[in-house]
This record gives sequence, C-alpha cells and structure tokens, in this order.
Amino acid sequence: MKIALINASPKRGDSASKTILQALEKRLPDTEIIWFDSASKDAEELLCAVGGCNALVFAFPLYVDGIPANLLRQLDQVYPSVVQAAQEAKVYVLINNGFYDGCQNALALEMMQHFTQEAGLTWGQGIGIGAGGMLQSAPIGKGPLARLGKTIDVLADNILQRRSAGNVTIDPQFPRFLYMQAAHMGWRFQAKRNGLKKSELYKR
Amino acid sequence: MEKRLILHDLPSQMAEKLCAHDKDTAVFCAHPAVRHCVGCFGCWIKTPGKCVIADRAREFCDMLPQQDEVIIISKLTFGGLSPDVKAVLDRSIGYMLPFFRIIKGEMHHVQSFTSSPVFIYHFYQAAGKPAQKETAQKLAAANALNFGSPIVNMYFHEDDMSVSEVLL
Repeated sequence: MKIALINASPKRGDSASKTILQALEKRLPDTEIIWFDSASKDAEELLCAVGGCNALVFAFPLYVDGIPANLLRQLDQVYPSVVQAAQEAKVYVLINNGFYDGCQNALALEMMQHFTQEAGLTWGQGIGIGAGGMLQSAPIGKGPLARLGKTIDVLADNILQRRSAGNVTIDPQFPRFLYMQAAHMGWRFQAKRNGLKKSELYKR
Repeated sequence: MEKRLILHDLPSQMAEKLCAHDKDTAVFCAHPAVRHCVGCFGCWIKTPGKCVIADRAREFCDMLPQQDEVIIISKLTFGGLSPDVKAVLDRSIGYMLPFFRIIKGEMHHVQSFTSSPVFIYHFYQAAGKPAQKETAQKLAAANALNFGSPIVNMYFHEDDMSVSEVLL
C-alpha cells in the first residue's frame, strides 16, 4: 500500500502539521510512505509524488477560515488530472487551528471535500484539530492530547483498511481559559525576545 | 462618499474599468500573485501590523482600516476564494491582534481597531455548484467575524461577471 503524506504547512522545517503526520506515520506499518512538502515544491511535483498512491493524506493549518494559499494553488492546478495519477486514491485530511475549538476547521474540511469531488477522487475522512499551538509542546497520545492520539489511531486504521468515515473535530483535554492564557504569555514572550515592549504589540 | 476597497481576481480589461470608477474606490488586483504567507507570525511579534515580507500585499493590509466597505471578488474555488485572492487575505492577518477572545462560545482574535469595514463578497463561475455556494456563504460569515466586520453581504454570479454588477 502506497500512502502520500502531504505536509502543506506554509512553514518550512518543523510545524504542527509535520508533527501530526509523523504521529500518523508511526501508525502505518508495512506501507510505502511518500513525503511531500508543499511549501518548497510545486503542483507538478505534487502530481508526480502522488502517482500510484492509494491514500493522499493532507495536513495543514487553518488560514483565514480556509486552505492556505500555497496548497490551494497546487490543488487548483492538479484537480483536473490528479485522478489519472492516483486512480484509486482516497483523500484524508488533518487540519489544525490556533483557536481552541476544533469545530472551526469544519469549513476548510468542506473545501477539501469539494476539491475531492471536483478531482474525481473519493473522500476518506477529515479531522479538525483545535489548539494547534499545543501540538509541538505536548506528546500526541498523552495528557491533553490523549484524545487526539486515539483519533489518529482510528484514522490510521481507516487508511489501512481503505475505509471512509465521518469527519471528526476535537478539542484538547485542557481548560480553554488556560490555553488562552498560555497563548497570550507566549505572544508577549516572543515579542519581548524580538525587542518589543508589551505596548508595541497593540501599536497601529 | 464612502471609502471602499476592492480586492479582485478579474481579467485586466475589467480591472481597468474598476480603477476608473471614482476617487473613493481603491482597487487591489490579486494577480500577479503576491507571495504566500510563510506562517512566521512576524506581523504579530516582530513588526506588529505589518507583514515581514516586503511586497505589495502590505499595501492591502495598510488600506483596510480606512475603509467603509471591502469588496472581495473571486472565482468560486472549492467553495472558497481563488488562490490569488486567498494569498492576499492570508498575508493580512496583521490587521487583527494575536490575542484571543470568546465570541458566541468560540475563540476568535481580538481586533486592533474599534470598527471594521462591511465585507461584501462576489463569487463568480458559481453555476452548478450549490454545495460550494453553501460553503462560501459560511466562509463569508466566518471571515467577517474574524475581521470584526459587523455586516457581510454576498452575491453569486453564475458565469463571469461584469463591473456594473459590482459597482451598484
């Protein structure tokens, strides 16, 4: 079984999307995994990468309620021909957002379903993950991200069994007000490290 | 006269007509495409309010606060905006603050400005795509909420659209 893991984070290097795909990869033994990095490649390279794949797994952050433009551009270019490259492929999607609420990813999941339909592919499953800011600071499968670990277990099984399933959106097992406080502290800390005063974060 | 800003992905001949309309209407053509956001958050924590990538996308974000209306014209693409239009909006999150607040039970960003423009969406080439229209309606409402816009209006155009349909 050949699976494309498409990291569509606009960030090069480490990202929450890459972390999620790495967690998924560990749950896909005895498969041929093709990694694709959207930010550093183009649509033609995407078409080549997905050739002959049984599953296309996209992971990206929610950008302005939708698909980040780097991936959107590639999807807009490949949708007329991708089905010829990967005829049997099912599409699975993992979206994370900086807000706490995983349900805010539902719209971008719908957009990926429209892409899947226009491309003539088959929808597998979509996962909307809230509190993306935690994904690189807590282990997936434990503590606040225990539920996410179980969701990725089920997703991996669906991929391996070539099953389609309903979309799922999840929040972390962590109080929302604490997530908010931690995020605010994080922004202030990073701004200070860049030599900014707290008041300058609000300057217009 | 109300100030308005038009962001569009229309062909250049139509864009010229938009530009010639009146002095209170600013026009931002989404192509050639601006560079993609790279997710660095520099517009929040390095140069607040301004994207660190030095290209013309900065002008769009700079113009936003002065507008009464923002009109977004886009080819309907997978139930959302076209890649060129989306690239401009992705580069404009410095318009809001990084901090969070709760609105109607959901987390959203705190706004930088006390009032925001009305958002008006025109999606074209929407014929035969009822499900995508439904998604686009929800997208417009979500965008308006996240940009602090009090009102959002939207229109669908079955095929291509004419300038007269926008500048009513």
